[in-house]
Amino acid sequence: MKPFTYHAPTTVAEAVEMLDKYQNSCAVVAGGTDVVIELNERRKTPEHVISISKLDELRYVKEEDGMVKIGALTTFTDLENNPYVKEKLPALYETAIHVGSPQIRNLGTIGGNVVNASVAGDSPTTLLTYGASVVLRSAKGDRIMTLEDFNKGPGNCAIRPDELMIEARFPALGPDEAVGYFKIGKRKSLAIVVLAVCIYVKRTADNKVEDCRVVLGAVSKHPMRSPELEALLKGKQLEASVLYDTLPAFTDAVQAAIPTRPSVVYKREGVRGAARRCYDQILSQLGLA
Amino acid sequence: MKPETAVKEKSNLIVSAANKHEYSVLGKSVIKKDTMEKITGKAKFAADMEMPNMLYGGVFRSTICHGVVKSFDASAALAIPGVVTVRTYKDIPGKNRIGIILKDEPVLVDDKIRRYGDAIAVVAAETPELVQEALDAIKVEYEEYKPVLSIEDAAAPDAPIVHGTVNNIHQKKHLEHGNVDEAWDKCDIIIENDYETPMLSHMFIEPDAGIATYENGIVTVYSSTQNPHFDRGEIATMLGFPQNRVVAVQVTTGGGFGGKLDISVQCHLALLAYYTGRPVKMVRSRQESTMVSSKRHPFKMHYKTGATKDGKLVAVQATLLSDSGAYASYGPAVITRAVVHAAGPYEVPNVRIDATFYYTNNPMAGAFRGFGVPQVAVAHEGQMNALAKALNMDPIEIRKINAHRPGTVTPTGQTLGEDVGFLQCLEAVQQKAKEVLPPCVPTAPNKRRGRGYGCMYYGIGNTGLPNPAGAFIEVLPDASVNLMVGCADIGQGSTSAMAQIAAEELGLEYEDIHVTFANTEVTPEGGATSASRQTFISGSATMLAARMAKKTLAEVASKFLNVPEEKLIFRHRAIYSADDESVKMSYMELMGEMKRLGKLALGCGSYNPKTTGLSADTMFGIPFEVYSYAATIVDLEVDVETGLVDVLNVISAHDVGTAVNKQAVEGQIEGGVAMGIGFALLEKIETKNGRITNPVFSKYLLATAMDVPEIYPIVVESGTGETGPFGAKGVGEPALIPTIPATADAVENALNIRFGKLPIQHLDIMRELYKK
Repeated sequence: MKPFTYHAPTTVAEAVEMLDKYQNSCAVVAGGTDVVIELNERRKTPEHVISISKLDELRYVKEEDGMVKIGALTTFTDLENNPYVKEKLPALYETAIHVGSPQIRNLGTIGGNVVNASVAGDSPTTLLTYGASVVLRSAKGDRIMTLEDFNKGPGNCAIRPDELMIEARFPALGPDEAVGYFKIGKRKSLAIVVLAVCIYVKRTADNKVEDCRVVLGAVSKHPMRSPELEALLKGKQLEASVLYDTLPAFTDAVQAAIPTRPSVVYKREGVRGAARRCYDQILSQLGLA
Repeated sequence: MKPETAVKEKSNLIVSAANKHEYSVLGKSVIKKDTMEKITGKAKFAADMEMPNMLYGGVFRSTICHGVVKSFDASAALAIPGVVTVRTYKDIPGKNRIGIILKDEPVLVDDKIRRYGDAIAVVAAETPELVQEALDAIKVEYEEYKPVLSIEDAAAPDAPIVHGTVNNIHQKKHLEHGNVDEAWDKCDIIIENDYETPMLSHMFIEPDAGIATYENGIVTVYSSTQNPHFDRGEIATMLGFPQNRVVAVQVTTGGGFGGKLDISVQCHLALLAYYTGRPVKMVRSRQESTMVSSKRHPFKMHYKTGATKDGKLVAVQATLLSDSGAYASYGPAVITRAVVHAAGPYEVPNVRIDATFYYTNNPMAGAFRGFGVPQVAVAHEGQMNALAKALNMDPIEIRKINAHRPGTVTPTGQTLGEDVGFLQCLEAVQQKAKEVLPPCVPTAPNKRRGRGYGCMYYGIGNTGLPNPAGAFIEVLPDASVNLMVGCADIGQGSTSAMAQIAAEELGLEYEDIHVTFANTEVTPEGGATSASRQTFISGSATMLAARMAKKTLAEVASKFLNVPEEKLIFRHRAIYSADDESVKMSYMELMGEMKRLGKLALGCGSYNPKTTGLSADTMFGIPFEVYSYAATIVDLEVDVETGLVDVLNVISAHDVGTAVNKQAVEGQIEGGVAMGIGFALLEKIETKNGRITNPVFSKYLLATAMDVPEIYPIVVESGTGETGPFGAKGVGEPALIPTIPATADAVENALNIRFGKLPIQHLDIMRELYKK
């Protein structure tokens, strides 16, 4: 680790001021589960490290004005222990409990996970499926950006060096909406995402797919919506046998996304199993199982 | 000869009739002596140690795997204030060659670089940060040679030579027993298969670390090690010191599994302390530790097994090939042990094994829990399972037909004694499976369920080589005891086992024995904590030392009680007459009498297993005095949608002769099962140009607590008491071995697909399942 100056602001305003001052010469640390490793391995060599771990004002999950708002510093353990998340956002709950180990979940934050923008990140896949946006704050003011745009930013994501991610937010789900999530790792815990599938469905009165989002995790540089799969799914009857008929299309989607990667041999087959479980969760959540 | 069948079963303990098993301390599940310190976090590991005026050390390592250092410039490093010294091979006062068996590894590179991460220079500085700055400031130029990166590379006629000038063959062994060529005609069935096992890393939880001092002409090295007495010799040779001016002390050690048998930080620290006159501390990072510590030999095996239609084995022929990496390390021991055990725990009248290990520029392969036996067990058990299937026989029944039993002649021509408990192991797992395993039916439509079978035998101690250990003992005036053994306790619990053995022999309690261990200044030679040897060998030495002290005690007690020595019973801190228990004295009274007579209760003991060397042409001989046995059944499910394996139940029965501490034996079995699952399904070291690309826990996947199934350990006691301490053998490595082939077999049975190559990762499963 290269020596650096350590800062631990206690308010968001103070943190944003520091970011404005240091910009490219600083690194922001939330839980540190990714950044501290990068510092240790000298993949990052900042002159200043700004720890935002004292910004308790960024630690919340709330429903407000029809939006679910999750503070960037909310840890995966916070999500796991939050009754609202467990009851209303089962896919996010599933995501949270399968991140790393208890120690990592105690430290790792949703904001850190989104901004780190790893190919194999856990929560970005799920948040994208929920249709989330991120709130980015700087001395110049707030920006709200959809996760889809955010992910496609230069480098890994579209955050500017002077910006702090404040919040992830997405529309609260109604009784006709459901999200299923399934992650495949190499072992039962402490496993990096090999492949994840997350599916959002809104149904019509006669239980057909009115709207949907289908997101594949760890098959691209960032979580990827599949327009082909979404088009295929729209209008389908929400019945296991009908939905299962779409599973081979998931294989085609993965094959098309990563035709030359050695792991395609695995992912194109595993994706059907992951998608099948998403469907089962969705049918169960909608009372159709 | 008909073996003794189980006569007594207490829960999961099966005791042969020959095992008398009337012990007062032995066999009890005592709490290990280091437990409280470890669970309260008070135990001090090498990385926790601090000394006044201490420096920090680091190693400058090569970033190529084959070549020479053309120029080396440390001037910029030495110019940094706080950087105290930089030393190279030119500064080594004695010999610059180390190695547990062959001295082929430099302390610091002189003639050439043979692997990625070879040590070129050592640095000492006032802080760890300054060490890093100094390492960054050193400038080096290399001339690169063409690297040798595989068995095929090594064996090529125009291959660059890694050591010497002749070829890259590191070791070659040939075992011949019976007449294999004529045997094939007598077989009704012949099965031929290939098997492959990966290079593995120990991933001991504590990376290598140590501190050295140089005071009053004595160099002392405290380190995380499995063999301080070996360390002492290597340090002395390097410094040109007599061995009594080097002290090696084992500090609390966070696991080893064979990976802390080679020299790690010891010589580098000693050299820096010698030149600076100050204490120097070195703690390897996880990456450095994994990059340069030894690795498990990857094996490629071809097996040909012949049997009659009744399932009786007639012949086994096998070739074993391994990439042994850049240095010999324990390679010669691994090849010998692998060849000796290659036919498995079965009576096979005709056996031919050929093995070749090659030097390459890959990471150094060395000792790792099992020394080649886990690798051959994958193959010999794969063959037995294939044979059972081909003959439509029960996998346990076919093993019973062929099992080693008292009187069996092994492939080295050794006739086994009475203490062979393999049949009991087979019967025990068969019985337990009936009791605890549900029907072999999948729990969901996307699951396939399978049962797998694996067995092993394992010779205790070094293969056909002298490997003695010693013990000193003193019974103090208050009937407490100081026991000094060389044996390094790296967490396996030898210290507590030695205390139990001494207490049993002396008739005292476990709590009465204080054990000083693995400190070359005060403890005698212990040999390596490896080869599952310490309970058997250091345990025997401890028993003999206690027996010597007891002899003096018995003489005094005999006169005092007026009972002949041979009629005295020492038990529970008292001495009785065997004929009349009312004729007795307490230990305190006895020690008072000793004091009055001016006698000291001292003892020393040493033990070297009764073995012979192995003949050079056919490997005939007695490589081990005793063997442990095991049988394991694995019950698991494979998710055919994801390829993920869920190991549900493992039943593992181990013949340990006599369990010194039953709970510790169960702990070994449980740990071995977890490691075995990792071996079969997850673990694999990956290299690129000789460099390990996954030297960290996030990329080298071990089974975690969440992956550990329900485990049913069974302890089988076949010991007659005539060998070892009260009949004890060993379990440290055996615990691992049978789970590996059994897990592989269970996956293959669940899917009806043969893999043969380990690990069977979810990727492999999906590839084979959907192979078009």
